[in-house]
Amino acid sequence: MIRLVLKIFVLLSIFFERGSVYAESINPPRLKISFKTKNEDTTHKEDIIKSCKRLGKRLKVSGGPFGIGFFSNFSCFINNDKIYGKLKDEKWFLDITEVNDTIEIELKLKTTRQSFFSIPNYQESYHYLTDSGILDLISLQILNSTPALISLPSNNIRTFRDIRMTKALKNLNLETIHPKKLTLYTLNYSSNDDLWIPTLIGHAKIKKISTEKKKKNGKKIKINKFTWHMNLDSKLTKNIRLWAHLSSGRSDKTSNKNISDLLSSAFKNIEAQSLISDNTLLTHNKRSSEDSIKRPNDLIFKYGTQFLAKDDLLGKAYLLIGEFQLRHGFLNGVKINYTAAPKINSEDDFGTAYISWNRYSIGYSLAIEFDSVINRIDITPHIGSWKLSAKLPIITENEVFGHEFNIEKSTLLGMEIGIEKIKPWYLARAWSIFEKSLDSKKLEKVQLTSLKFGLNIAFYPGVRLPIFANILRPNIQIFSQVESIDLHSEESSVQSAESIDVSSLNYITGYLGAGLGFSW
Amino acid sequence: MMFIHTCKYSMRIYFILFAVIFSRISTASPLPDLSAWLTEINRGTAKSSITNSINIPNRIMLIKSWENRFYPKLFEIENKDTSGTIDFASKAEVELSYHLNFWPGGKKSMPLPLEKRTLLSMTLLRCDSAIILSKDPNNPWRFVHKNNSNVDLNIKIEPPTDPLNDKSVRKWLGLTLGYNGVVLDTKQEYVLVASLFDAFDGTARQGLALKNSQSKIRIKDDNDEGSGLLTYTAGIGNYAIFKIVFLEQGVTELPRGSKLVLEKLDPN
Repeated sequence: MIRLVLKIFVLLSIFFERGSVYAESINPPRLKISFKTKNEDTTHKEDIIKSCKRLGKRLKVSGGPFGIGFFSNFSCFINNDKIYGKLKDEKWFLDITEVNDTIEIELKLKTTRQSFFSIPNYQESYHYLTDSGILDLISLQILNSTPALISLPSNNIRTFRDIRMTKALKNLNLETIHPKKLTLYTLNYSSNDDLWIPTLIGHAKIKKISTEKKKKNGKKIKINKFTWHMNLDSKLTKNIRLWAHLSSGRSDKTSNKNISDLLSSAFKNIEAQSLISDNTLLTHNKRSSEDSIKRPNDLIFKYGTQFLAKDDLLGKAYLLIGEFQLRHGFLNGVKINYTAAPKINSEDDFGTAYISWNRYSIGYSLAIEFDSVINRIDITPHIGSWKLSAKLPIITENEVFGHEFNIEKSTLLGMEIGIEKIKPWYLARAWSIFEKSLDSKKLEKVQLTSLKFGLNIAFYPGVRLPIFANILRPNIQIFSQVESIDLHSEESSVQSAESIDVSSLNYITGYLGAGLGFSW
Repeated sequence: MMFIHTCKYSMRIYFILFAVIFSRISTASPLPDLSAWLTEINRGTAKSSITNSINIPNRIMLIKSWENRFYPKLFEIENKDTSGTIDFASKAEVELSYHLNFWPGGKKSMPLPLEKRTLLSMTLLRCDSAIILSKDPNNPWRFVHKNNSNVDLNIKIEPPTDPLNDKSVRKWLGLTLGYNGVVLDTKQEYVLVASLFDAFDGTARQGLALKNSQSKIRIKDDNDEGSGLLTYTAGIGNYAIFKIVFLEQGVTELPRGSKLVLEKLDPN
């Protein structure tokens, strides 16, 4: 029996020593990651440190999704200043360089380029580069061009995680980039010839081993785990380091394109969620267990002056607007608006004409989002209250007389429809609102209907206020709106010498204005 | 002085064997354990391989043609664990090696001259030998051998008369090289032998050792002398212990790396 075992051992050892190589067997190398930014900003620095650590971890052996990883350890630098890790005879360099509207990612072995690709540069922050899902895709793209995508232990079955499903990867088909089949090999490097010299050992297929359900934040979520089923040419006699790459080859074009397309879609998702420039959201995310990206909440104050009506009274009109909108969190979708037209008056033949009104509303937005020319369409049914006090001039052929309309406190119902275009540095919104006051026996029998159209543009200059833990980010608002208001009295009144019935009145105003918003 | 002329797979060996059958070396040492012997010689070798330190082709690529003047298209031979110690490069290994070194967007392939192209492929595929199977009748078939990065043999060879297949190519390679076995080690009258192109299947064999052949990669026809006659005693896979029947006068031992012509004995 002992003799038989010995024979088997000898045969196996002979087999695996066939075709030994002339080059040195490699161990996982170290990596130096260098971020090169256009300007130094402490806020950016926090995000870059986080991004670098997360990316470096994914590039380490078994550190990424599906167990991918090539490097043993890493160090991080920002503009040549070390921020993490130790520098120790690195031969591999990952440069992440900010160039205008793109960020270029280049992997080099000494001075030889191994891979190069670029991603959008959202000028206000690097916080989108801390997103776990996006970093998973970037690490796959980088490792696709290294001499090995993954290192698998030959005598140990391990399970590996899936790509992190953050909101940036929402609705994306990630199956296309799952590394399904690998070629297994040992790997040597000949520095004289600058050649990677593999020894083919076998193949491995991915296997989804379980779909676990875990309670996270009180919710059940699905977690996919994977293992690699290895098919070796023969049993290995000892634990040796096996390297593996996609069977389709290093830096396979189809694989690269699939990852690149997904990255592109992920960035569009971020754009659509209008979160790119909002560092505060990342701060928020840091507190949560997931680093998904969310749309900002807004508090906006605006002032608009009348530009359309030409008469003495309405020509003086102006608006004060306050808006509060929640786009993430517990009350996501809630929208509160308060608009006031302070009292203005003018002297007329019949005396003093005047008008003042204010209204507030609270609504709930239902939205559909797109990766297209338009990024979002929403409808917001709302309810509120209206108050109006006016004495408006009625002009006939022979005379001018005043007519009073009073609404002390009337309930209003309304519907808003809006479409949005979202870019990293601005948000443009075109909208229309129809509102109608309801009858109330307690109040004057005057009905009011309003139809408005408008355009709002918010510009995000990319600074944050040094209060409330730097979570507030100001933005500049400009807007224009045209409003048609119908006033209708159920009881007509005789107000003039010509006994004219005045039961309804319509006037149109247009406003142009600006304001200041705060996002978090 | 007795000379034994090399006659590959010829019947001459039978006569010699018959002639010396009564003049066998008289010492009767115990038969060494083959497994223990293999383990013993494998331990401590610099390249961790039994045959790598011996001057024989360890790994051969058979190049049928070139795709894009760069990527070799190989004559495929099945690599079985027990089909001889010589290893053959495979198509899958070509794909893997070239993918790792000449990936899209990476290092560019160079339109190298034929010889450099061949050497590059040999390095990538860890081959010390290459055989170029030319389709063009005006270009002869060639055998290339390199020692580390230096080419020490680049010669014309005769193509086989019949089309090659997995089995016939091994026999043809043995005829082309002039031997099909090699001496790995000796202990008194016993010799540890490796078969290069097929496994020992238990049938009786004899071996003719070729004189001063330990440093030669190829043995030329009829110009080499025999230095000893061996007979099979036990074998595992590609390895066997032979017993020295007799040595040529003046020869006291068979140096490690001596080439052998191994031939099965007809059971009848």
